[in-house]
Amino acid sequence: MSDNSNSEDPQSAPSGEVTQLLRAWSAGRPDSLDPLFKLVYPRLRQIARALFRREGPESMLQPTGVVNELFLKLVRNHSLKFDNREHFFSLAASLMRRILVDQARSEHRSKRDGGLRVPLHDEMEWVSGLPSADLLDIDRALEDLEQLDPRKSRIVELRFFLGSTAEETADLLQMSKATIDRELRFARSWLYERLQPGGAPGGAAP
Amino acid sequence: MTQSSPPSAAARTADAAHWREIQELFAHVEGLPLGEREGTLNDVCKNTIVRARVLELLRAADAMDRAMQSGTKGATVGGAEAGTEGSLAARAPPVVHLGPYRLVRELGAGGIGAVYLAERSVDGVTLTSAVKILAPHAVDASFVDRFHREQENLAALDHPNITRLLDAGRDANDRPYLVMEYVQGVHLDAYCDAQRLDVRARLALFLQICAAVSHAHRNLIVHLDLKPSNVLVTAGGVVKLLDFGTSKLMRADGTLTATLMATPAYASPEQMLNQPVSTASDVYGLGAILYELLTGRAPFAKTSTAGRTEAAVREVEPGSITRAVTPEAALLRASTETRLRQALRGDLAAIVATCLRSKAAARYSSVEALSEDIRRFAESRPVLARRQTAAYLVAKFLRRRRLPLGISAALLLTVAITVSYAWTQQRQALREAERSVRMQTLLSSLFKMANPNYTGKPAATVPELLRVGLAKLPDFIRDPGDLRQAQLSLAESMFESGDLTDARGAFANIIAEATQAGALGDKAEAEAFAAEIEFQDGNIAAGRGLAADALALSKTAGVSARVHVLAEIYYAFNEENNGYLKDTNLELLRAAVAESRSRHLSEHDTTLALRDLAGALYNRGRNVEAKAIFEQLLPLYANDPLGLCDRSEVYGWLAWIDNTSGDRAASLPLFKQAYEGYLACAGADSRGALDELPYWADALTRLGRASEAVTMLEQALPIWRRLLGDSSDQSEMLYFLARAYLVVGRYRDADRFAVENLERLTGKLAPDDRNIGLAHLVLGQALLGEGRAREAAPHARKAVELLVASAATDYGRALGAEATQLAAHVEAALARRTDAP
Repeated sequence: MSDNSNSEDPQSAPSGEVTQLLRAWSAGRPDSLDPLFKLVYPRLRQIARALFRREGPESMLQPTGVVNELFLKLVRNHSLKFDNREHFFSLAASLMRRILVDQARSEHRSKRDGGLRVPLHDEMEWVSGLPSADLLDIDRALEDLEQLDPRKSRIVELRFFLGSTAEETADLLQMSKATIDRELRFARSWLYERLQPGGAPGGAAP
Repeated sequence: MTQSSPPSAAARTADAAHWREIQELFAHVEGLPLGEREGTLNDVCKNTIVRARVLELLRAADAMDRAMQSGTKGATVGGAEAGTEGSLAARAPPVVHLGPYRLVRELGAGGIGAVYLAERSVDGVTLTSAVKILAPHAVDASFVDRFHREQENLAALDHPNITRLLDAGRDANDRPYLVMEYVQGVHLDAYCDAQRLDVRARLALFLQICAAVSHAHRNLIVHLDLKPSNVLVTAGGVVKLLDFGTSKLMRADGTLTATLMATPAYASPEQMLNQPVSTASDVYGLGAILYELLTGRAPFAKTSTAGRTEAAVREVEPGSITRAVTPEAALLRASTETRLRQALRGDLAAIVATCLRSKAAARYSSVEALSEDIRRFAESRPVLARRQTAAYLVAKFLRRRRLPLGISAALLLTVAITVSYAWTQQRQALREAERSVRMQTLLSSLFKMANPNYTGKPAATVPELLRVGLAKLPDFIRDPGDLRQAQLSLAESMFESGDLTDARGAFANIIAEATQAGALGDKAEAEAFAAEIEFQDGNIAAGRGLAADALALSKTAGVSARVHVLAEIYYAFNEENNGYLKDTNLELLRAAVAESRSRHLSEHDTTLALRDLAGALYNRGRNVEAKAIFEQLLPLYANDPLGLCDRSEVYGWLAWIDNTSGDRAASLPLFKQAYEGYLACAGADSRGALDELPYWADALTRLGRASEAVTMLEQALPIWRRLLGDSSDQSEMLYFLARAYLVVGRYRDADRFAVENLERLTGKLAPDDRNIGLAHLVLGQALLGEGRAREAAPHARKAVELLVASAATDYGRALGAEATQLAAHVEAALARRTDAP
C-alpha cells in the first residue's frame, strides 16, 4: 500500500523546474522539451507500462489514464497559468506521442502479434485498415510531415495522440472547425498514402 | 523491424516543391464525382507531376474511407484478424465459456470491461445473467477475496432499482469477471427519447434513479460511474441501475482507478483529478445525468479527456442547461426550443448547476436533498438550490443574517465530543466493558468514514457522516435521555452543515419523542432549531410559532440555562430579522448575554447573544452602542480557533457602520480585514468573501473613488454570476455596481444593471420591501442621468413611497432623502421640458 500511495505525491522533479522548462518551451525554445521530457517522463512511463501491461485483446484500454495523468503531472502543484493553451496542449500531445512510440519500441518484440495495438482516438481507425502500419511507422511518417508542414503534424498530434476533439483543436489553434477538418482530411490522406506498403504486403517478419 | 515503404522520389519532389498547390487542388476536386476529377484537374493545373501527386492522394483518401467504413461496420466480427484490430467494436465474446458461464452475446462495453449475456445451467434449468469481463488493470490480486468480504455490504444493495451483483471470479486464464442480474431494458436516454417523454416524466424517472443511489449511500456504497448508459428502463418503466458495488471491488491501491472507472463526459472533477471521492461525486454524476435528460447532451460533450482534465483543474463549470437546448432536443421532449428553454430556466437550471459545482462542498449535501428539491420543483414549491443562497441574503443593506459556520473540522469535533460524552455517561452508569467497546467501534467507524485515505471505502461527506451517526446512535446508547441528547447534538451539527432537509426530519423526531417523554428542555431545544430551519426555508409564520413555543417551554423549571439562553437568542434574532422590531427583543438579548455570563455558558453562546444584540441596536439606529459591542466582541473571537469567519463578520459590521454613519475613510481598512478574513477562513468563492465586496465598493464610491469601485465589482461580477447563477442574490452586486456607474457618469451601464436588479427582485420579495425601493431609486437615477426623465418619474415615486416613511437608521434616512431628491429633480426636468417650446 505505502509504495503506491504516491498518486497524491508531488512529482519527484522539483515543480519549479518543470514550470520553468514549460515557460521556456512555450516561449518558443523547443530544445527545452527534452529536459522537460526527462523530468516528467519516468512516472508517465511507469503509468503507461502499468496500463498497457497485461491487456488482453478483449479489453482495449484507451490511453485516457495516461492523458489524464500527464495533465495532472504538468499542472498539479504548480500554478501553471495556461498563458498559452495552444503550447500547453501541443506539448501534452507531443509527450503522449513520445510515450506511445517509446512503449511501442519497447514492446517491439511482440511484433508477431500484430505490434502494439494503439487504441488512439476513435478516428484513428483508418490506421488499423493498414495491414502493416504500426506506431513506429506512423511516427516516422509524421516526422516527414512535420518537415513539410509543422502545423498539420501538430493537428494530427492533438487529434490522435491527445484525443482532442475537432472543436477543441479548432479552439486551441484559433482556426475554424472547417479549416481543421480540411487540414486533417489532407493530412490523413497524405499519411495513409505514405504508409501504404509499396506493393509488397507489409513485413510481418521480425 | 518493419519498414513502411519509402515514399517514391517523385512524391517527395512534388511535395517539397508544390506543397501548397497540391493541397489546394486536393481540396478543390475532392468533393467532385470520381469521373470529373481528372478532367477538372487537367483544366486547372498544367503541371503533370503535381496532377499525378494529387490523384495519388485522392486515391489514398478513397481507400482510407473504404477502410474506415468496413472497420466501423464490424468487419471485425469474423475474428480472423481479431489480433490486429485496433477497434473496440468486437461483438462476439472473446471466449465462449467463462467459469461456469456460457457467453451468448455482447450487451455493451465500458471503461473497465465489456458485458455479455450469459447462461448457466443449474440442475437442468438454464439461468440467465449478465457477465462483465473486467479489464485486468481495473482489479488486483485480492479482487475475488474482496468480493466475498464485501458480500454483507453488497447484500445491502437489495433495492428494486438496483441490479444485483451475484458473483465474482476468475476463469482458467485468470481473467477477472463479475456476474450481475440480467435486466431486459433500454438505456435511459433511448427510452426517454423513444417515448418522447416531457420534462415532468423525465424528472419522475430521475427520482427513481435518485432513490436507488440514495439507498446505496445510506449503506456507504458509492457508484462513481453514473451515466445514462448505466441506467436501464424496463418495459414497465422501472429504472434499474447497473454497476453498483463495482467500485468497491476495484484495485485498492487507488492508482488511477477512480479516474479510469469514470466516463470523462460525466465524471466529477475530483475523479478527473484523481482526488478522494465521496457521495458528492455521485451527486455530480446525477447532475450530469439530469443535464442530459433535460437537454439531450452531456455537460461536457465534445470535450476530450485532456480538455475535461483542464476544466477540472481550472474549476470550469459546465454552461447552463438553458444554453444547451437544441430544437431537436426540444422535439424529443414534446416541446419547442423556446418553451423548453423557458421550462429549464430558473429552478431546474439552479438544481442542475448545484449538482455540478466544481467544489464537492458546494453541491447538494446528499442525494436526498437533491430529490427533495426536484419534488419541490414538481410541486411548484420554491427550490432550495435557489433559496439556499437567497436565505443568506435577506440581510441586504439593512439587516444581515448570520452566516453558517460550515467548518467540517468543527463538526467532526462535535461528533467526537457528543459520542465521548455519551460514552462516559454510559460507563459511569453501567460499567459494562462490552458497551465501551461498542462506543469505540462507533467512534472509530465514524472516523474511518471521514478519512479519505481509508482504503476500500469512500470519504464520507460531513452530512453523510452525521446521518450515519444519527442512525447508528440507538445501537450504542440505550438510555433514552442520553440518546436524545446525542441525537440533538448531531441534528444541530446537521443544521450547521447546511443539511436542512435531514436536520428538519431529525428535529421533528426529537420533538415527538421528547413530548412523549415529557422532556421539556429537549423539546425546547429542538423547537428552537426547527424554528430556525423554517425561517431559512421562508416559512415565517411556522418559524415564529415554533420559536415562541420554544421560548415559553425554556422558562419551565428544570430546563438548562443553555437551552433557555438559546431559545431567547433564536426568538429575538428571528423576530428582528423578519422585521418585528419590538423592545422585548432587546430585553431578551440582554438577558441572554447576562445569563450566559453568570451561568458560565460557552463563549460561543455569549458571543452569539452579543452579536445579535448589537445587530438589534443597529436596526434601531443606535450605532454607537452597536459599535461598542462589536468592538468588544473582537477579542473574544481571538480565543476561538474557529472564530475567524465570525470575526470577519464583525469586521464587516464595523466597516458598514463606519461607512454609513461615521468615519467613512476608516471603513476601508475594516472592509479589507473582513474580506481577507473570509478569504482565509472560507476562500475567495465563499459567500462571506463575496458579500463584503459590494459594501466595500460602496464605501469607495462614497469616498469619491467610484472608478476603483467599478473595477472591483466588474472583476467580482463573473464570480457572482458563476456562483449565484440565476438567483435573485446578485442584487447587492447589481445595485452597488449600478450606483458606482452612476457616479462615474456611465448612465447607460447603470441603467442596464439597475433594470436587471429590479427584474430579479420583483416577485421574489414583498412588493413593499425596502430593497425593491432601492432598486427603483437607482434605476430612476440612471434614467434621469440618461435624460429620460419621463421614464424615471414612476421609479422616483415608487422609491419615495418605499424608502422615506420606513427609514429607521441613518443610512435608511439618507436613502430616503436621496429618493425625495430624485423625485424633485425628475419633476424639475419634466417642468423644464413643458416650459420649453
